[in-house]
Amino acid sequence: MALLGDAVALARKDVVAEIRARDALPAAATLGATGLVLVALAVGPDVGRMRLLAPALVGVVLAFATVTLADRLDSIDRADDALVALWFALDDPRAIFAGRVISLSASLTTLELGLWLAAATLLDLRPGAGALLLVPLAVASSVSRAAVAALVTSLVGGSPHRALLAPALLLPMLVPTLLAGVQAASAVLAGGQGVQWTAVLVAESLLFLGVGLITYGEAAGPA
Amino acid sequence: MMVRQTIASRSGRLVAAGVALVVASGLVLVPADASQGDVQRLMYVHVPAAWVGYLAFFVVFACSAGYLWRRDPRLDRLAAASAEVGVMFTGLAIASGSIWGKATWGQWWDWDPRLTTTAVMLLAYIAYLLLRQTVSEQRRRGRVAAAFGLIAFLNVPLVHFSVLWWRGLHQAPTVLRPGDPTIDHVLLAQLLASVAAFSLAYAWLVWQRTRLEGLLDTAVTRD
Repeated sequence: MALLGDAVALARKDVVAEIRARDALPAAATLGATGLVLVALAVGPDVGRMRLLAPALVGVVLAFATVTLADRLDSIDRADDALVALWFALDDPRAIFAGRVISLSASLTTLELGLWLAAATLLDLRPGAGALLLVPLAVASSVSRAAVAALVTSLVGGSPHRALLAPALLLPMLVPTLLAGVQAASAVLAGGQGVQWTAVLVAESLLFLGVGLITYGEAAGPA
Repeated sequence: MMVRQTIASRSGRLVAAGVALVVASGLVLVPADASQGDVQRLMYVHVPAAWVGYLAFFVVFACSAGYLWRRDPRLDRLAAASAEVGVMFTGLAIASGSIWGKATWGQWWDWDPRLTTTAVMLLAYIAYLLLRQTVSEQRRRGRVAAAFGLIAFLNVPLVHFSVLWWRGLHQAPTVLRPGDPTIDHVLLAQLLASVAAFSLAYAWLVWQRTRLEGLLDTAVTRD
């Protein structure tokens, strides 16, 4: 219970810092919006084609935004050796990982829902009642992305090569979530429920969370 | 030391001869496939290379788990060596598959789920090697690489089951499947001999690479 309490407190700290500074999420949202506009421009004024591409487009944009958001949150903790202080102050350092997953999941869910709204407006998507299904889907995929991103950024965070390493390590590891997320969203937009793929996303989330909780205390730690 | 070098050298020659023998037998002795003709002979390189890739990445996974548990530097060296050799064999599987694809599908690369997920798996393990290269301190390198080695393995089942989960051009499993293999017995015998020879080559390369890594670590410690 101490782990969960500490994790929630650390996540709250991240969220409050983000609300006050307003830098990571707006930067990721700008990146996302730019991605949408650039691909739409590159593909051309064919709304039908863009509608088909929408789930993949949102998924790819979210993968890149995850790298930006996770790296930003990790670098805030590393400034002024705050991470070292946290590591030694907490009963269980894994609370840092769990807290990061919670705050990152919140940011990514907000971003994903915002991107779906933008995609619906710009690409004339009409999910109808299925739009509500995009909410649990966004939560499940965000937790999965957040868990793997929190672990990977903690591994490379102390490295002088972090700018190169974070995307190189993280993007291939986001592929399982990308695949399941795109399949689930495509099913929802086609009028289905995408239950099977959402279940895959939940399984991936649990797997990444499990591996993260097992390894974080052993592998991450201050450099 | 001299005895060990002699054993290494002689066993290396034996393994090279074994690989040459099964490749020659696959090219000349075994009859051509009834429907695909001579191009099917690439299977005796493609399938064993892919199998060794799986094996190598499983060894990375097992050694990573072992290293986080026991902190034995030999396990870290074994994981590093296995990842390098695995990347080499997976590259060979992709290259030989690509040549086969050109002859049978008419193009070097198709965005088939098996091909795409294999490429992502290769990228994940190249990232693993990059990560190792950028961390100079031995124990920290072992810890972060082990954590990444655990999550990177999630790509392996994704690659194996991709032919069952998605529709694509790549054929479904013919040997590792429920029920009898759907392949002629003579071709199967040749295939198994190739798998055995490639596995021995893998073992020899990993042995040599681990030995070299050990010597490097000793040299660094002495400095």
